Amino acid sequence: MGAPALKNPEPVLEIQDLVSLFETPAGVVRAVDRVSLSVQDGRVLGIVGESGSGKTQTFFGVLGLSRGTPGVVSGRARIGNVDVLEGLPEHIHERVDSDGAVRVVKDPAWRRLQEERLKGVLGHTVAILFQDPRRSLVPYWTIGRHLQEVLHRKGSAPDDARRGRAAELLRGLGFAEPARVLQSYPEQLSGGEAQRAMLALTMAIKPRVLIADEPTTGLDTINQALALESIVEQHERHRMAIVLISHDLSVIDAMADDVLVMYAGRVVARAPAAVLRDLPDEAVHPYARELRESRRRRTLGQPIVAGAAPPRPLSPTGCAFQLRCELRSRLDADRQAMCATEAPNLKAVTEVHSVACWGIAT
Amino acid sequence: MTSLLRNGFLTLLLSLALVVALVAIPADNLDPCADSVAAAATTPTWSVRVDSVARRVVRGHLPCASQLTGSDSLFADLPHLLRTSGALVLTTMLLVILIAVPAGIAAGRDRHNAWARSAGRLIQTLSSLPVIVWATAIFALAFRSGQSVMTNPWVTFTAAVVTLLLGDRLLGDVHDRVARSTHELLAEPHIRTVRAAGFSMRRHLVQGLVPPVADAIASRTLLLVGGAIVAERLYGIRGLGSLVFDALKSNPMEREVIVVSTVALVTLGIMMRAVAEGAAVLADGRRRM
Amino acid sequence: MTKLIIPTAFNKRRRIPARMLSGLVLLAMLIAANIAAYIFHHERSDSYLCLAPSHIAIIRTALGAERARESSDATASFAFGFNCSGDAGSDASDSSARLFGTSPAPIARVGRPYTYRPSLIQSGNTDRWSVEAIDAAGRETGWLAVDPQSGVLTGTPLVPTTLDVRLTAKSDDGRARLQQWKLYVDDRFLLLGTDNNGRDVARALLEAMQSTVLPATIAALIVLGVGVPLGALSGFFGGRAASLLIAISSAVQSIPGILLIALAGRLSGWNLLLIMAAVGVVLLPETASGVRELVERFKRRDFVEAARELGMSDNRILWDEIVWHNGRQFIVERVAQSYAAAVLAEVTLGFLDLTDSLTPSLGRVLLVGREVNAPAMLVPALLLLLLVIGCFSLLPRGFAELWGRPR
Repeated sequence: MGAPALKNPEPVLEIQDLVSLFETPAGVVRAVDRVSLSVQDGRVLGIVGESGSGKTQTFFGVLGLSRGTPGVVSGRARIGNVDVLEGLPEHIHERVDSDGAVRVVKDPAWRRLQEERLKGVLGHTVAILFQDPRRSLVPYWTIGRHLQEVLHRKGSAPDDARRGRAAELLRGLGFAEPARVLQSYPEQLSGGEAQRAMLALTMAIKPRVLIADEPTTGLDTINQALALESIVEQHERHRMAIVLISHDLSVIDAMADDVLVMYAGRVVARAPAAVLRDLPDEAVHPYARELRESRRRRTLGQPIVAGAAPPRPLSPTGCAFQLRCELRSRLDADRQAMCATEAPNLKAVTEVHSVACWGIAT
Repeated sequence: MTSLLRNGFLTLLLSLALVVALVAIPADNLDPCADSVAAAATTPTWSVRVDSVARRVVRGHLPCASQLTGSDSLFADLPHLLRTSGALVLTTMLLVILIAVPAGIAAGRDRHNAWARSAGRLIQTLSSLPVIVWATAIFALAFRSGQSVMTNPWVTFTAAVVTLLLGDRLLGDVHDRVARSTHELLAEPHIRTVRAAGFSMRRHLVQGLVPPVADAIASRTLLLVGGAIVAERLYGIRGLGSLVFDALKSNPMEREVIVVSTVALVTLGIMMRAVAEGAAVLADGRRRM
Repeated sequence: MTKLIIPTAFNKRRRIPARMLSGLVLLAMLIAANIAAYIFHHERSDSYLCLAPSHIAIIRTALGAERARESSDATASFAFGFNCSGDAGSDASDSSARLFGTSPAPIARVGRPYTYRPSLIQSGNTDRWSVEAIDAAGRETGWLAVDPQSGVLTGTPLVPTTLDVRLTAKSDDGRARLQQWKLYVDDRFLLLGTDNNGRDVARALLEAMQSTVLPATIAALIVLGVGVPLGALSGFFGGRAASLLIAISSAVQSIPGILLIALAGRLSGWNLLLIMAAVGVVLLPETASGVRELVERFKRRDFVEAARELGMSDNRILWDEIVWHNGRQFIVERVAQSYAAAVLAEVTLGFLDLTDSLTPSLGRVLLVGREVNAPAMLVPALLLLLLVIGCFSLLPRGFAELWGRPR
């Protein structure tokens, strides 16, 4: 996708040094570890990483969409003009119990404060396209009801006008029989239809930024292509910012302007898509390199990325990727020791490319 | 609608057949209200009894006055008795909804909420005792306050409602189901969509919980009717239930009264269940009754 | 949570969860009490435990004697199911013959005060009371005294004996109204004491245990032996049988169970075993439906298909893989529930005064205790009932822990 003229150079979504914790039976996991990112109007930011890398939690924790007890313990997040985390980290803290167990504890005020912060953001500035759309839509509302609810909130047009607008949205997304779809329940739609219906819902919201979380997961190849095509079309029509989250680099490669590679809750590489595609192997983070290779290996029936995801909770020191890193064995003893003892920070390799790796010259 | 009608019809038919067949078994004394055939010296055959019971029920008249109601009309007292039994059941169910549903929602929303947990534990503990235990406790209290207190109809009605509410796990079961349904609902993927799209979570929660709450209540309605007839007998409330038990105890057994009262009670239960299921259908258009 | 480690015959050390152990201990105690109740019921039939004093009220007029017989309430008297021989009094339906509104207690305890406050249906202004108490040897006893004006009898017996007591109210016009009864004075040690009529509470409770756990096994057997196979087969093989089961189950569940049980009881002459069987039949549809739903849910799982591919027969898949490995917890809960429900149903019928007064029943003990407001009867009876319910609540949870599912 070509880089468009920026409507507004200020980021529409900006996250700085976000740290988010999960409490698990095995201990506290840093689901998101000092992640910073931003996306401007009209740009597509692709975030790629395997399951558990924290790419979804980065946004869901900020937007109050996570289940369980993850807590954003530090960091800032601005969406539009709203600092959505203002004051929140003060209401979350770690507590060490008498048996040595570490607990993440929230004050009762936390939930109320978060809801206040996100009022006017969720369903207005931000819209989210979830994976598994058939289960993500409300099962006992028709698609028409979903759209009516949003359109009603957006304006006071009479019922007929809202129904017409809903049909128009569906038609714009390739539905030949909008009337049938409006009367249908999510379970009556195919996966691809449900995904496009969900996209219609997000379009009805008219957001400034759309977060698409694994929009192609669970779809067959044709519907994957249709879904991506619809997203591209809507992006070109409305020029909104898009955050595209996927574990599939080919999807990111096809759509994103900028790419963030995440591993074990950390950002390990950042670059424009075109740059990341063409960089030589020795300049690319080892994990990103494996992802690039994975497309080729898939066709040869080889493992996608060698090794297994690190056990969580992480050991407090060292690079998260060290156990799977091919590059490490080729480093000198000093740098190998650094891999084992200190987690590398993101450092600029070039003006537009940053990487968190002791083995790559910055 | 059709499956409810079908179930209701089948239930009425079966209850009618069951009760008529059972009461027609030649058992004890000759029926002093017998017609000319049954008044013969030999014990009438079962088919004669079924016939006579069925004819009397359909006509709504007995050949002579009932020892229990003092009337030869089987249906004269029915509306009043149905009102009494219905009031008992409905009042109890209303209180269950007012107590167990909010407590269950609070418990299901936040399992770490100390108040909700305590309330839940209290409800579960209190409702784990059977009706008999609560009735005994209430009678003992009443005895201390003076036996005349139990002659006041409002006192006995309240005592019956409290007994039904707390006994036989009615409150506890509904609370448990509502808490579980709330927890499951909040764990559903579509809740994120509701939040993300800025829909009203409160309204959505209410709509999402109506079907499981209605199911919980519908499943307990008929047990509640059974409990109510026990409570009527316990507290001397003149309703359908106490009439049925009096008829069971009567000598000779007034079979027609049993048939009419049982069918009326079953109808009451089915109607209440239909209301609960209707609410579920309104909330969730996918359901077929 | 503590666990008891018990070596088994196979030399494996199995951990029995505390809940299960408690439940099993309770169950053993209840069964032992049940058996003891059978043994002692047949062993003893002391006539003085027949709590049916027949007392006669006689009017003597100047022209001759009119005899009026009245007896105490037969229902309350036989509350504890003692099968008594002898005259229990005639019918009290002749209301014109009722002269006294009260009945005296037939039992007095050595060393404890005995009091009786008589009440005449039609008392005169100048009634003078006197009492005569003669023992078996014909001697008049001196410990029993009467207030000449109010007629209140008081006294504290010192030795065990049997007395014929005659209480007389004479009025100025020459009419004499008499009440006479047999008074048994005993000095047995009674564990839980007596109620206000001198009835041995512990004995009454022991007798009532006959109608608890062991008879309730009938209900459990019906649920286990009929309900589970019915539900399993209809759920696995489906077809018309399943639809019929659903329809019948829904219809039968619409009728209040207590009503069906009471009806069955009445028609069987309050036969305890038939009442228990009726409970089992009432619980049958719910159990069958539950098992059917469980089997339907599991038969669609991949492991069933995998088992078929491995050559396992449908029977083995159904009974071993589905019912035993996945349904056993549910079945244990239903069986435990059927025990508790059977005992509760019997107690309820007795408490509602629906059963035959000759049938030993915990419910009747509660009923009498409630009528005379005797905590000595109510509290132990309630505790026993709670023990039964508690036992059958602990056992399923214990099994759940044993089989690895925390409750």
